[in-house]
Amino acid sequence: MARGDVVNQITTGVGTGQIITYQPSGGVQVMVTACGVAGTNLLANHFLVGIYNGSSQAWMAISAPGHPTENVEPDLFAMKIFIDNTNYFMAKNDSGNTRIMWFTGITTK
Amino acid sequence: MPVISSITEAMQTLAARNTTIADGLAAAKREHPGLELDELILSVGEPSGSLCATCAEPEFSLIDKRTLQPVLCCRGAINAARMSSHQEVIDGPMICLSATPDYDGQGLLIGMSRIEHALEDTDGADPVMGIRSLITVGRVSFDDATNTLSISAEE
Repeated sequence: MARGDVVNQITTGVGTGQIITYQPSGGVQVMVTACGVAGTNLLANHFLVGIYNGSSQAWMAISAPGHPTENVEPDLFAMKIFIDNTNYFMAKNDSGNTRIMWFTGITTK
Repeated sequence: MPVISSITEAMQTLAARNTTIADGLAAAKREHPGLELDELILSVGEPSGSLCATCAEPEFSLIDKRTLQPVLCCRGAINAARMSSHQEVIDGPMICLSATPDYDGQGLLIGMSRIEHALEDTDGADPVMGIRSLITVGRVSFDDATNTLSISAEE
């Protein structure tokens, strides 16, 4: 059955200001457990993670110079975000560089 | 790849995706007249071990939301119904450049990965041109084969 399947995405070529999203299908729920970013100039990583519903965005983790999480290594962002078809995962590349972005999670329903 | 000449044209690519999704659901309903797909809770249990008499796809047990009774539904119909939960947002702040469906090991649709770009310009430390502005300078094109919008590099 679907429950317990790993959800794992690496997205290349994410441009400045672009977001990646993962929207579970109707009837499916996913727990996102970690996400990260790769590319050049990672110290100024400007990497935002949050929830999106198609119109509103809300952030739960931000890694950017000057922000309290500035020194968080973005590849080690560990979290538990429960998402479904209505409110789903997003990560934003807010840096001036094109990025590779990834996340991993597991289906819970 | 043809260059997109207006925001309306870009939105039409999303609308076309939605039409394809709706057509898929309508086809699944036509092919499975005994199933009331709109009334099923799309959380899937174990495979039943049986195959659909119509399309020979494996069947799974779902719950009818009205009666809470189990109903057998084939993978093709489940996927069509689940795909209908991935209609593109046409009037949101972001526009979808590409959408990639994600399937589990049993071939069931479990999610959709997207890359999205802001519709309008944003300022800040790293200002970003929105799709609307990028279209006006001829940097947005549409790939029919992959059904994706792409942004070319600044010259």
